[in-house]
Amino acid sequence: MALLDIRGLQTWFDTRAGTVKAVNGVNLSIQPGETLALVGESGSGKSVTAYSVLRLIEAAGGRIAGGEVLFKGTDLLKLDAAGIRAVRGNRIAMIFQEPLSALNPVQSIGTQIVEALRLHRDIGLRAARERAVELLELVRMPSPRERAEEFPHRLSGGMRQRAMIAIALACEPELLIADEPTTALDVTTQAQILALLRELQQRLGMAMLLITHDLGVVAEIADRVAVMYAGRVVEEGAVGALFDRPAHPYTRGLLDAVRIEALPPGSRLPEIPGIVPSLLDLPPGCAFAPRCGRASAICQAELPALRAIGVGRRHACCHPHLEPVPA
Amino acid sequence: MSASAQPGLLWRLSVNRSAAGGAVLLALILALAIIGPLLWPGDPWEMAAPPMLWPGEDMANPLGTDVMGRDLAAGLVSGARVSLMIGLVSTLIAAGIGTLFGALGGFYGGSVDAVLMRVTELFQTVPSFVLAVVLVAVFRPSVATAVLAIGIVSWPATARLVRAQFLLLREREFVLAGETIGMGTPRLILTQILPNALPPVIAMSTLTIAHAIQTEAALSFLGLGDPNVMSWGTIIGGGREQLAEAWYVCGLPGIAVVVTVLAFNLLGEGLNDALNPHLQRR
Amino acid sequence: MSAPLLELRGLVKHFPAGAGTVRAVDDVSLHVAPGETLGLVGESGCGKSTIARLVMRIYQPSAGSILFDGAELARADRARMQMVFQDPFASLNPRETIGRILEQPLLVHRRGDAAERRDRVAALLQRVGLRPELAQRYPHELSGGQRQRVGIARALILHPAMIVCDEAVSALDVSVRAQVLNLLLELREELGLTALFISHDLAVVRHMSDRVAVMYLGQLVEQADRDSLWHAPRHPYTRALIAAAPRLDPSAARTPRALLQGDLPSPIDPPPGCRFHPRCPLAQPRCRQEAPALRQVGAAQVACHFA
Repeated sequence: MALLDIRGLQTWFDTRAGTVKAVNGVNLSIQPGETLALVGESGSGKSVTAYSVLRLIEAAGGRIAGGEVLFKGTDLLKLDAAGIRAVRGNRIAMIFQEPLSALNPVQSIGTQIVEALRLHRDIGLRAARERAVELLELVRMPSPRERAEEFPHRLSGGMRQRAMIAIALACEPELLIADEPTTALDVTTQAQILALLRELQQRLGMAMLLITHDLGVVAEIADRVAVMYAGRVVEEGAVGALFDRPAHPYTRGLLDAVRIEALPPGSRLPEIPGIVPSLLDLPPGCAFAPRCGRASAICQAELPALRAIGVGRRHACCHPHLEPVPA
Repeated sequence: MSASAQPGLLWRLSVNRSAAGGAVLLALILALAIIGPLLWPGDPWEMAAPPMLWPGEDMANPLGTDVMGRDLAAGLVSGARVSLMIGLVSTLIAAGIGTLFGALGGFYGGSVDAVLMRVTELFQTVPSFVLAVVLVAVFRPSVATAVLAIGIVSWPATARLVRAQFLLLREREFVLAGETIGMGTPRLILTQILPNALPPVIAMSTLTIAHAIQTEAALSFLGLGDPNVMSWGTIIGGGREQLAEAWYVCGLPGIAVVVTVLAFNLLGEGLNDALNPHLQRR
Repeated sequence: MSAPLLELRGLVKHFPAGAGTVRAVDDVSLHVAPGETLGLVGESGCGKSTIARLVMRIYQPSAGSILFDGAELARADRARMQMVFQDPFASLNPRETIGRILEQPLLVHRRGDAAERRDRVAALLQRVGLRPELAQRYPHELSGGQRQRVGIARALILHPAMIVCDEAVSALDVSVRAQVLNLLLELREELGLTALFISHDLAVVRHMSDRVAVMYLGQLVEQADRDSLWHAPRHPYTRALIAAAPRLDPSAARTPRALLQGDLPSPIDPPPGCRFHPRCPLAQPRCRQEAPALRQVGAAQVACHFA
C-alpha cells in the first residue's frame, strides 16, 4: 500500500476577482522510503499541494474543495483538529524554504528540538535534551552540544537549514515534506544540504515529498518526479526515464530551457513561448495548449487525462513526444 | 489585481463598511456647515430669544437658546465650520512639517536623521495639550494661533511614520533605479518615494483631524478660543455653569464633537485598510 | 586589445557594521573592453552586487577608482551606463504606469518632446517583445517576465554604451528565464553593448559572457576567458563552484564528488591569509599567513599559491 495517496485533490482560493483553482484534481502517491519530487514553476500549485497534505492551507486563505489525502489508508482531510495535530510534526514533518522565518527567533535551537519532541513523545526533559544533541549530530551540525544553545540568528544559512531538518526529524516521521529546502541557499551550501537529505533519507528509510522548481535538484535526489502545470500533474515517472524521454511538451521545454551547459555559449536558448495562464481564467482544454508547438484542435477542446505509458510512467498529453531527447 | 489604482481605491472604500459610514457622517456634517447659515441666518452671538429655551419649546429656535438667549442651532452650525476649518488647516500644517522632517531624516539618514529625530522627540516628550495652551496663551487667542498651535503639537507622529516609510523605500530597487537613470534628489523624493510613502500618512491624517477638533474644543472650553468666533468649545464653556438646569447647552455641542471625531476615525480606519497593500492582494 | 570601456582599479568598499567593518569589496581590479561582456560570479556576500552598485554610483568607493572610457567615472556618465535589476517586482515604481516609468530617463535627461518620447517608448516596448498598449498599465498588472522586459527597456532607452545586469534572471521561472536571456543576447548583438553580467549561476554567466571573473569574500580569485575557466578551472574555489552545481543528468548526479565543507565566513572578520583557506582542500600552512596575489597562470589570472 502507498504511504501517501492523494486522489483528486482540489484546493481553491476565493478572491474578489474569482475562484483561483490553485490545485485542480491532483493524483499522486508516494511509497514508503521513496523520494517523490513535485516540480513546477511559480503558480503551478506544487506548494499548495504539499501544504494541503497537512491542511496548512486554511491559514493562507485557501480551502480544500475536494479529493482525498490518504496517509496509510486514513483520510487526513477527514480528521478533526486534534487528529491532524497528532500527525503534523510527528508522522509527517515539514521543512521550509526560509529557515530564518520558520525558526522561532527567541528560542535556542536545542529548545526548539526539545519542544518538538515533547509535543508528541512522552519523554523527560533531560532525555529530550540529550536527544536534541544527537539529532544535531545526525544532521552534521558542527559542535552540536554548543550549537544547541545558539539562537537562529547566530547561525549561518546552512546551519539554520540543518537545525530545521533536525527539528523535523525529532519524531522520526514516516514522511518528510521539503518545500524548496535549498532555494534560499548558495550553491556550495545547497550541495551539502542535498547530500545530507539523501543520506538521511536512506539511513532512516523515510519517504520524502520534495517541492522544487529546480530540475537539477530533482536529478540529484529524487527517485520519481511529477511535473505540475497550472494546478495539474502533466507528467510523472522515474527520474531517469523522465529525464531521458520527457513525453509532455512542457516537460521537454523545461528540460531544454535548463540544459544551458550543453549549448554553445552565446547561442540562442530554447524557450517556451508565452506566459503561464491565469488560474482565474484557464483555457477549456489543455492549459498548456496556448504555449504548445504541437497543439491541435483537440487540445483546445478537451482536458487530457493522465494516462499510463508503462510502469509508473504517466502523462496528460494528446500529442506526446515518443522519441528520446537527442544526446 | 486587474483594476488600475484610482477606481480601485474608491471601490475598496465603498465596500469598506467603516469607511462608508465615516464618509456619510462626514458628508452630513459638511452639508450642515455649508447650508446651515442659510437655514439659520443671523449672528450666533446675537440675543435671538428669551434665555434658556429648551429644544423644541419654540420652533423659531428649534434647538433652544443658551443663558444669554443666543440661538443654539446657529451656534452649532457656526461651530461646525470653525471645527472643520481648524481641524483641516492644522492637520495640513502638521502633515507638512511632519512629512518634511520625516522625509529628510529618512532619506539622508546619519547625522541629519539624528538631529531631526532628537527635535521630534523633544516635541513628543512635552505634553501636547499643555504646549498648545501655552502657545495660544502667549500669542493671544485667535483662530490663527489655535490652528498654528494645534499644527505644531501634532506633527511628530507624522514625522515618525514618514521617516519609517522613507527608510523602507530608500533601499527599494525602483528607487535605486531612479538614481541610476540620473534623477536628482528632489526628483527622486517627489516622484519615486513620496507617492509610495503617502497612503498611510493620509490615513493617519484623518485621525489627526479628529484629534485637532478635540483639542480646539478643549482650548475654547478653557476660554482660549478666538473671542470673535463661536465654536463648539465656546458653547460648552459658556453652558458649564448651568449644567444642572440646562444640560443641553453643553450636551448638544458635545454630541457634535463626538460625532465628528467618530466620523473621521471611521474614515481613517477604512482608508488604512483600503490603502494597505497587504490587504489589497486578498 | 583596445582600451577598456570600464576599468576598476584597486576598488575597495567597506561598510560600518556595529563594532566591525564589512569588507564587502577589498581591492578589486577589473576591466571590460568595448563590446565585451564580463561575467562576475560568486555566492551571496562575495561583493558582486556591491561592485554593480559602485559602478552605478549608488555607493561611493572607500578607496580605489573607477574609470569609464578612460576618465574618472562622473555623474555625467549616468546616461551611458545603465542597470537591469534583479527583482522585477521591486524594481518598478508601483504607482507609475509602464509608459511613465520608461519616459522618466528621457525626462531626467531632457531628451525629445512629448511626442518623440511617446514614440520612443512605444518602439522600445515593441523591441523588447511587449505590446505598446502596455504603456498605460501599472506594474502589478504584468507578469514577472513582462516586468523584467520593462526593466531592460528602461535600461536601454537612453542608448547606453554599457549595461550592468545584476542577477537579472535569478528571480524568473526557467521557461521565462530563457526568453529574457535570449532577449539580452539579441539586444547586445544589435546595439553593440558592452556588459557586466553578474550572477550566482556559473552556467548562465558562462553562456552570456566572453570572460568570467570569480569572486570570493570581496576579492577576485580567478579571471579567465569563459572556455578555459569552464573547462580548466584553476582556483580550487572555481572548481568547487562547478562541482557543486546540480547535474541535470540523474545518473551522473549520483556519483560521489568532492563537496566544499563548511560555511562562508563572515565578511566582517575574513580569515587571514588566503580567505578561502579554511574551506580549501589544498590549503597549506603558507595559505594561512600569506594572501596570494592575482597572477597570470596560462590563460587565466588566479589568486592561489598552488594553482
